[in-house]
Amino acid sequence: MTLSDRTFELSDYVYATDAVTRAIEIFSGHCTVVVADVDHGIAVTVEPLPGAPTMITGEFLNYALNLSIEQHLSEA
Amino acid sequence: MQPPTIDNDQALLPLDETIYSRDAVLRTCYWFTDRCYVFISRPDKGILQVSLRAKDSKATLENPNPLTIGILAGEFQNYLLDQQLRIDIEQQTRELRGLLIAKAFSEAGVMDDPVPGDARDPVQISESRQIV
Repeated sequence: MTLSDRTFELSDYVYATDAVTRAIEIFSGHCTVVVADVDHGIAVTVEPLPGAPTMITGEFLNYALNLSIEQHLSEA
Repeated sequence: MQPPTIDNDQALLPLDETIYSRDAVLRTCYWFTDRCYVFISRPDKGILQVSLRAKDSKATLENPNPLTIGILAGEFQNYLLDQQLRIDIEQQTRELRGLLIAKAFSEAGVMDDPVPGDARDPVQISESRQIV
C-alpha cells in the first residue's frame, strides 16, 4: 500500500478513529471518503471531488496522521 | 534498519519496532508532514512502514533545487535515530531528573506548606482593614 493508492488501511495502532473522523469532516469539501472496518483499524477510500487539488489525498492523510499523533502524545 | 526503497518520487521505510518505538516514529513523522506526504502502515506486528513523498519535488523559481526523495528519506532516518535516542535517555535519566527537580523546588521553598495565620503584625492588619 503506497501513497499512489486510493484505498488505505489505517491501523488503529497509529491512526485514532476519532481523528480520522474529524479529518473526513474537515476535508468533506474536497473529497469524499468511504470508511470500512478491517482488522485492527479502518480502511478509507478517498475520492477527490472535481476541482480538488491534485494531492488532496496526501493532505487528507497528513491531517489525519497529525491529529492522531497529537492525540497519542497527549495521552502518553 | 533496512535501506529505504525508492520508487519514482516515493520512499518506503520499513521500521523494526524493537529498534524504533512507535513514539519515535510518530514524532519523526509529525516533523516531516510539512515537507512530505506521510502514510504509516503496519504490515506485520512489530513492523511499521512509512511512505514518504516530497511535497515540492519540482524545481521552481523560488526553490530551484528541491530536495530529492532520497535525501529526504536519509534525513528522516537521521531524525528518527535522534528521536529514539532522546526517548532512551529520557527513560534512563527519569529518576535523576525527578530528584533534581524535587531538590530545586525544595531549595526555592515553593513546596513548603504556608505558615498558618497572617504573617503581618496586628497594626498592619488593622490599618489595611480601615483603608478598605
